[in-house]
Amino acid sequence: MSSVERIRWFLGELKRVKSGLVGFILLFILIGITLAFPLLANPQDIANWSGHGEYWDQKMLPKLAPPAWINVFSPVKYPVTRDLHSIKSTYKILNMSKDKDLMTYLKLQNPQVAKALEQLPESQRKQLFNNLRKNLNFNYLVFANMSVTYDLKADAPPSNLIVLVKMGPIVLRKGFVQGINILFTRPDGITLTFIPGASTNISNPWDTNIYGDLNNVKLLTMLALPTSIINTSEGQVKAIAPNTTLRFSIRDYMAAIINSGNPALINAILAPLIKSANESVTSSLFVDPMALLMSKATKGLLEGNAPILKGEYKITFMFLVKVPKGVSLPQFKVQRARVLGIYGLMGTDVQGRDLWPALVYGLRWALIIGVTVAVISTLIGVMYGVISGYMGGYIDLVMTRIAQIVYSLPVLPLLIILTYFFGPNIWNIVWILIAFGWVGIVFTVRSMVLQIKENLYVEAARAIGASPWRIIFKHVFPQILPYTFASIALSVPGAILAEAGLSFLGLGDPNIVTWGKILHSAQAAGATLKGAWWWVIPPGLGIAIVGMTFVFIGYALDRILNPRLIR
Amino acid sequence: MALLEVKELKTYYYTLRGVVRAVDNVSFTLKRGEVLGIAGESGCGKSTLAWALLGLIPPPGKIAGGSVILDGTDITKLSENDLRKKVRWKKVSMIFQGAMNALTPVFTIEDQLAEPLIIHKGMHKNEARERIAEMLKAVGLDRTVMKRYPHELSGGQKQRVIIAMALLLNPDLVIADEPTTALDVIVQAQIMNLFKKIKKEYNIGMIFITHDLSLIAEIADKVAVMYAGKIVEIGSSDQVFGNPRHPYTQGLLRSIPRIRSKEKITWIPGVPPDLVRPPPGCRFFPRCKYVKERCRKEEPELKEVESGHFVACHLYG
Amino acid sequence: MRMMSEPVVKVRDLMKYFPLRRGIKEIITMKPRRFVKAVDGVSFDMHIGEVFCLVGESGCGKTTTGRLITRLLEPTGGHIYYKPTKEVASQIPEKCFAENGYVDLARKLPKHVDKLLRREIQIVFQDPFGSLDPRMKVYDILKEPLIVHGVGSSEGERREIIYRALSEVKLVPPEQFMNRYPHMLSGGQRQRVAFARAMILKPTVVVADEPVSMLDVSIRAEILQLMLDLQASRDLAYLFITHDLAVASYLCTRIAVMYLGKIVEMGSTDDVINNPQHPYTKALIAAVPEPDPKNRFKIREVPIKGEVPSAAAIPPGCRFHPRCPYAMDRCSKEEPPVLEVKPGHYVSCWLHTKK
Repeated sequence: MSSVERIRWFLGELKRVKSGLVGFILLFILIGITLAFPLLANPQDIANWSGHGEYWDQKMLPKLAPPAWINVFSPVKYPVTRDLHSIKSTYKILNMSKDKDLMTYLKLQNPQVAKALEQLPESQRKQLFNNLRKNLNFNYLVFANMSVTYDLKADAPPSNLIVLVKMGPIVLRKGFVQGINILFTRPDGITLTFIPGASTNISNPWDTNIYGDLNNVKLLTMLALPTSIINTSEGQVKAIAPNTTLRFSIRDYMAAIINSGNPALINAILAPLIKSANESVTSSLFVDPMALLMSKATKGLLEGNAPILKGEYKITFMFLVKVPKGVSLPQFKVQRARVLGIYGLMGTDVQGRDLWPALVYGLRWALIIGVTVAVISTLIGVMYGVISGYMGGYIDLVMTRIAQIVYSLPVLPLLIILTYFFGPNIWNIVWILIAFGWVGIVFTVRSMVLQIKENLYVEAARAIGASPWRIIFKHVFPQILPYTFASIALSVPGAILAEAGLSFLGLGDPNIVTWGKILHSAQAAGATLKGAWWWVIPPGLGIAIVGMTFVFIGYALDRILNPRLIR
Repeated sequence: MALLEVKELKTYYYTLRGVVRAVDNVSFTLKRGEVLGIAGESGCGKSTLAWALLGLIPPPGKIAGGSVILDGTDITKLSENDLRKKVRWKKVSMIFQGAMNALTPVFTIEDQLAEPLIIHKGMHKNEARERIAEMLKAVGLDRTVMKRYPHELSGGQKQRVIIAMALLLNPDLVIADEPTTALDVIVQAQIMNLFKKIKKEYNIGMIFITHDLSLIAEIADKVAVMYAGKIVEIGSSDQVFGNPRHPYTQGLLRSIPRIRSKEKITWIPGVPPDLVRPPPGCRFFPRCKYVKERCRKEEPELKEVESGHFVACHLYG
Repeated sequence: MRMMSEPVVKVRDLMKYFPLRRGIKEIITMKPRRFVKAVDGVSFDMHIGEVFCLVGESGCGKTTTGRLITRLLEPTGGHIYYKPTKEVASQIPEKCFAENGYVDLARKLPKHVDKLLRREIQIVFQDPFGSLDPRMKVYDILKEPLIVHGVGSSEGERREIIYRALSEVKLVPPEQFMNRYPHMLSGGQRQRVAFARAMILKPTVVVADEPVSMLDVSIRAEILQLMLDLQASRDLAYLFITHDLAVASYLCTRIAVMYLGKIVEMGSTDDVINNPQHPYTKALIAAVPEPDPKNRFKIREVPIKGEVPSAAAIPPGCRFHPRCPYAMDRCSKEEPPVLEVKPGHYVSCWLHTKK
């Protein structure tokens, strides 16, 4: 039969064995997915998978978040991770060299003096202003107000709200109150301030008393704001450098406060809320910060049992900054505001890495490793078995003994030792798996050959004068071929599992992402204990599906090509 | 009353390739104590016919029509249970092709021969022993064979054991399917002598199936020649051997080399037809040297050419 | 049929013993090794144009002898003298010859001589299906011998040769059969392919091991006639192995009757069949059935006792004596020599010695 006829016959037979058809269709789908990887996911995610924390930080993904589609099945609707775009900003400057602004400033600072000054004649006023200016240690007073609005419509609070605020330069100097206030306004009207010592009454934004002082080291630490020395025309000063990013993560910030064991601090921040809920705080709280902030102010709030408070939430960043001579005006901008909840097609792991690209990418390695190990080890094993079986005599004896010895070696301990010595590079692992994998099939093939050897047509070939090699390749091997194909197909799942097992034990290649690796990190992070099913089940299911594909194919190949079944 | 009456028996195999008409409208009768020889080559349906008489047709085969009346009862209408309990081995037993190789290697001859006795007659092992010894003697084997295992016996001895097994329950009818094919010529002659002896002493009916016409002549009173699932000629041995009418029978007889005569032997060109799509008309026409137009279209019926001698061929009306 | 006066094959005292595995007890007590003496001293000649028959029941060693001649088995002892044609002989070095232009096939020969001689002696097996590789087309099956021996310098030339080979065995039109697989052929057709394969290298000797016993009765004669036709068109010698005396009597020129590894009687077909001298031959002939319906009333008398003993435990003296109805005292002690009772008719039996 010509090749075309052969293919057509094979396809016809495939229709007969349905599982084979399913297997091949699945295989094509899997290969398609592997090839379409750049279309389905971001290759950058994989390139930066290990050891590139900055990449994942800037992606700002929720940690250990379930996939976004669970909202379809869940009675409780969870908020979906997204950037917030309703941001309002105000920026006002009071220029001290301008009389008018100076007057405004005086009015805010000391209204009586301001009033008196107003009644003075202008020339006197001017003279007084100039004197004042000499004593003033700043040229500008800047007020910035940025508010981010978030409308909570879901049935559960988001896992976090992160706002990136670009700010600076802000000079830090003793006696220089640089005001910062971060307010949290709830839909029920309760307003909290995140800055201890600041006020929630912001009717007069120019009143320094309503702010916390950035000069306070404790506050800087709480906000994780770095300071440095900047160059000004007046020399070097300590400041918050220009373009410093304040990364305000509500969850992290509040968690630190709640777990501080400092009831005074907790009360300072949460007083309005606690009072409304008619509770009191005596020690550390053990409650989810987001739930605390976004639940109704009723009994049970401090245990996290209060129902959710839906509606519009506002986070307001207020700055009142004095700008001395020689320093440029500070810039304030909300660079990014993001609410974190459920995310993506496959959720995230504990480090906030998107699991979907890892899943799709892992398929590529599963197929590569599975097929390479299976094909090479099976072919080696089959040739070994055929030669050993056909040659007989001493050759057979020696070859069988060698195979038996290799077969009885303890695989796992050796695997561990070998990966230690040669390095856990994926190709080393592939070679090692092949080195242990070829033996299994040798004994079966050898028995088959012993039987085939006795066939009359083999004797007939000998009678014609054919050499042993000719007989092996033309008469013996073709009989084993169908079994070989089926065997390859059936050993693919084994190879994938072997690599997954190695990765799971931590012996895998650290530079690539395989399903085994994912399972390893899941186990290390206690994913199952934490209920992160989306981290554990998809890779496991993936291994099972790829295995199943090859089992179907192998089974169908065996049924179709087994010579005893050929009609 | 005839011991066995087969009427228009049809046994078909329903395969994926199509319906194989293995036995297609076969009829014959057999009297008590009479031996019917069924002669035919590979694929003529003779083994299927044998199995049909015991209700043992392997799937996907089925009796598609006709009746098999054994001692007045139509056994095609019996349930599997009835067949098993009342008919098989008690009324009809069979010597299968290659049966001597089917003896269980891990049981002694005694155990294997005792089995039918225990199951069907409810005998105890000790009662059975005597009957077994008796049976072994009847087939020419010594008592000591009882304790032996099949691999310790020769081909001829094993076949005798098989024959003993078939006769254990005193059946009315024994069907022997190629009972001597695997045996050497001397042993074959001895087994044939045994059959002759059994025929005389037990007066049972026997159906002897083989492709070797010489063997049929040695034992059969009546001969039926089968081709492609049909009986093409049937009559007494003397009639069929002495005056063969069907071209196939004639061709068959002329293709046997005789050791004691110098006649040139001939052959029948061609091959037996595919039983899924047999040729229209007479199934033998592609190979027949007397073929006429009618043969290609019309299937010939069995016609009586002399008393008790029937031939299915258009040469005869 | 051209008969050459000199035999093309001379078999002398050919032996093949198969060693039996020894149990621990036997090894320890250092008992002598036991053998299955499948062929125990067989001698005969084969001539071109002749069909030489080895007849016997199963286990007599005839199949083993056939395998030995074809060198599928190595002899344990004895000689197989073969006289190659002048053309072939010229390619064989002087030292390989034994005497008078005969090469002893039983000796170890250099590889190229071995291969050359394999072309000369071919075999057709009993099983028409088993002897053809089910995965190869008829064309490939017939091409294989050509490839192995480098016959035909181009594919076209080889195709021609195969074409002719198929025509010769009457598988026509050849194109129709070339692309078929064995399971698409009938038993008779397969056996023709087997003959074509054997003949394609133009051998001098063809061993036919029960070539028709697995075929339908009605087509056996066709294959036998084919064998005779093939022989008529070329210089060929057949070794025909069978258990069927009737077929042997029809086809063969000379018959040798084997029993337990030895030839007990040998002669022309006419002599052996119509005037058998050895008790075993007489028993064999008596046992052959005939299609005469009157036989059913008579017990067929076969003058023989007992069963064939195992070839691992051959009876002393004349190996047939335990079964012989005429056994004398001498028979159990001494092995009878080969006697020529008539020119060309040999018997190995004490009944024929003049005391």
